[in-house]
Amino acid sequence: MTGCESKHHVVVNGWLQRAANGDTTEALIGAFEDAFAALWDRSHLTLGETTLTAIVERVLHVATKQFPQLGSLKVSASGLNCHELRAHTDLRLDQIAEGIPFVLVEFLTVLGKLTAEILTPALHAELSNQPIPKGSREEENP
Amino acid sequence: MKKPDLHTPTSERIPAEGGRNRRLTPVPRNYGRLEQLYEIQTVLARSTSIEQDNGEFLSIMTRGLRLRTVVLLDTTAELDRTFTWAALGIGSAEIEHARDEARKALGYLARASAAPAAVVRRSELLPGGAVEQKIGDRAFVTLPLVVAHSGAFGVLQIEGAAALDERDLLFISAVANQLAIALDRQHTKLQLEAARAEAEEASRSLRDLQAISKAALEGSTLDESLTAVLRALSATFGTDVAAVLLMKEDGKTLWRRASIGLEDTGDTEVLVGSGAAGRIAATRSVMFFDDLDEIEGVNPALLKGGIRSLLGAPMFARNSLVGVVHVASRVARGFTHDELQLLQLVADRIGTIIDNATLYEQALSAIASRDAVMGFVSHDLRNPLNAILLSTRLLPADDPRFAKPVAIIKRSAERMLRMIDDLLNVGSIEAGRLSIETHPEESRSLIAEAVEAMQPAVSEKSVRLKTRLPAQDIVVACDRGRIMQVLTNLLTNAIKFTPECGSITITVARSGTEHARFSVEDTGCGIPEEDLPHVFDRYWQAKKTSRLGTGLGLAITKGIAEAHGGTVSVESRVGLGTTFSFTLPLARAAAAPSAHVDAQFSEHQASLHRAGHRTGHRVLVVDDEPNALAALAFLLKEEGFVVETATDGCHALPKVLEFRPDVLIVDVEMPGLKGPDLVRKVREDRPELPVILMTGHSDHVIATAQMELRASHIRKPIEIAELVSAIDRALEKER
Repeated sequence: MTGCESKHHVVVNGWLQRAANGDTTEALIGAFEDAFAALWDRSHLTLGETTLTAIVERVLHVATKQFPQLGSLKVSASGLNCHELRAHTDLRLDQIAEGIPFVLVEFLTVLGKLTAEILTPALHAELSNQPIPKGSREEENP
Repeated sequence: MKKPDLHTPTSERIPAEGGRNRRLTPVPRNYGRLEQLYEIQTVLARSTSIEQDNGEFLSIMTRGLRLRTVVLLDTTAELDRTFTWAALGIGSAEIEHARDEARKALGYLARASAAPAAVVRRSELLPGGAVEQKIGDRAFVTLPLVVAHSGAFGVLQIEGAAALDERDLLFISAVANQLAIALDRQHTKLQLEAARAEAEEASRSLRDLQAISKAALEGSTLDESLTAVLRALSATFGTDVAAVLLMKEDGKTLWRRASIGLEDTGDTEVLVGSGAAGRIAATRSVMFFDDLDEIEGVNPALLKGGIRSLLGAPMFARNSLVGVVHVASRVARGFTHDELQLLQLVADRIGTIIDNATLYEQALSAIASRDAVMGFVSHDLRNPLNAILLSTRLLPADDPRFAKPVAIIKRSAERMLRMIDDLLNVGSIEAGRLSIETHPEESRSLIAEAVEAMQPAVSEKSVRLKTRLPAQDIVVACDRGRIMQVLTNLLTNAIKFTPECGSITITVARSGTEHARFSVEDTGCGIPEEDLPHVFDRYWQAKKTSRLGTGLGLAITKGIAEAHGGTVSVESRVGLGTTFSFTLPLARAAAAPSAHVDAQFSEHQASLHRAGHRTGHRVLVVDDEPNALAALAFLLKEEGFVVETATDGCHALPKVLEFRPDVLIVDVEMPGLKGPDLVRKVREDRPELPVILMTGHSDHVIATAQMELRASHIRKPIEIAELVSAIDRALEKER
């Protein structure tokens, strides 16, 4: 694992700890959707949607091979679409909790590698600054 | 024009899909590069070839960015090219490393379907510690070249001489997008040009194929067609030689059926598996030989002809190998893939032509065999029929005990005779040799004769037979005998299908300015609409008939009408009746009718006159059918002739010398010395002896014999009155 890649893991795990504080699959998917939207929007400013779409497509392709349950994630011009994933009511929390960080780390790693890590600090910041999802235990019990 | 204010931050919150809000961070932008971007855009917009313009493109890039290396990978189905730029002092190992990085990135980014071989494992894209160490502080920005709705077809990789920031990344991203659009446009253009070239080539091949196919149709025989095809083939391919070799029945040898450009050296065969054509036949695939000298077993004719290069294709028909077609050249040359494909198409067509010709020859042979069999069968059937019909004349006609059985025998024999005639007629019609001798004939007279002939059947069935004739008679050009056959066929059918007390109407009227239309209308059961297209087909019979007949009557009617230049038609309504019509050409105004009835009357008068001179005239009758011979002899004696008989040609010869006949009557088909051979021998001593041939053969056989032997003829079964008339005419001529 490269130095950058371990940093991606640290940032993503930090996010996950906060996001997974909620105890439902739905809540975790919602948190992931917000987080990825933040990463997308930040990258989009520099790379544009066509380039970004091509990269995210490949990230999802790789992720789906390892986590087939993520096959329903779709990328479009406006970012990642989690509607179909959310519709899978049979998905367990642990399955999602394993696949979602992989997508985020893979995205940060590939994007970092392709852009000489220029965007990495900004993307890490986006992820770290993600607000705590509504309905999480932390929010219920401040 | 006011320039866009790129300083203004993008809206901080924009609605996202699903109603979620996204938080945006303004990105610092660099206006200094805007000008460069415009320049690059201008260069790329007018660029028709990135090979030519990449220098200008890179020089603009390097103005704004301090670069170490630039790698551009462009790969599509048609292209796979790499452009690399490196700053001075960069070593080749570093350049190669930069290229590797670009290839790995493309391998990750390209869709599996677009570049399956290029896809690399993640570990290769994101190398482990060792590789990371090797890379050191080199920083590559590698962005996909991609346009909307397609996978990455290339990458633009920039390595900065100093650390790159987000402004640089924004600039590189914009350049990559411009580059992707320009390259995609060039790809599309190249694809269009390739498609256009392919279409033009296909069009040229199609024209060539059409020319060759047209040549195939020009020949009237298979040899002519093949020669024409080979000539066209040789011209299309620009070769000296073209040849078609066919597979022998043993499946092991090919023989040259047609060729151009090859001398006939007698070497026309080649074993399958040997030489060029033999190898093509063995592999059943298109093959090209660039130097025949190096091939074993090549046909000596090709080597003698100085042939070097050969392109050949197997010919198939109905999934079987029928041979090989090849073109060959005296100079060493190559052939394009398109030429190869064209030859295979031509080979397929020649295979079909040969197959069709073979089938046609087999069909002709089968028809000839059938005609021969029909000829013999009809002859053999006519002989006993002749005996039956002649013998009925010997029975006492005035004895009421025999009247009915004799009538039955006669009617049955005559029906059998009509069936034999039908079969012979159909054979003649199909072979296009139905003999028609047209004369001007009055339509009233034709109809009157037909009505008279059908009167007994009409009376028996109790139907009314009416005629509807024009005030002014219409004269048509026709063969009276044949048209009587048509009219009696139609009337027989009408009587058969009209119920008792029904009616049949014969009509004749002008049809246009050149034809007359004869119609036979009945009030019978009618013909279902679905059957109407088939009524003139051979062997078609109405379902309600009891199959009394051959089913050939209407086919013969059609054949006879068409042989006259006329047409046939049918109209029918089930339950109401049917109308059959045929047309005949009008006779020319100057021609006079044959006055058939008058002629018959004159002939009768002459016959009576001649009868007075028959006494003592000697007739020798030769026939291998003893019953018919005996009956004929008896009837001729009754007519006043002195009759001698012989049962074959050998017995007849001495009798010609001893008996000294005034007339010789000979059956054509006899065992041993046949009728015509007997006549030839008799002619050696008595060249002027009148001869009458009796035959059951069809018209064209009679015509041939008659012309060669200077004999008249009479068809079996023999009508005694007709034979007596023939004898009288022969005696008259001799006098």
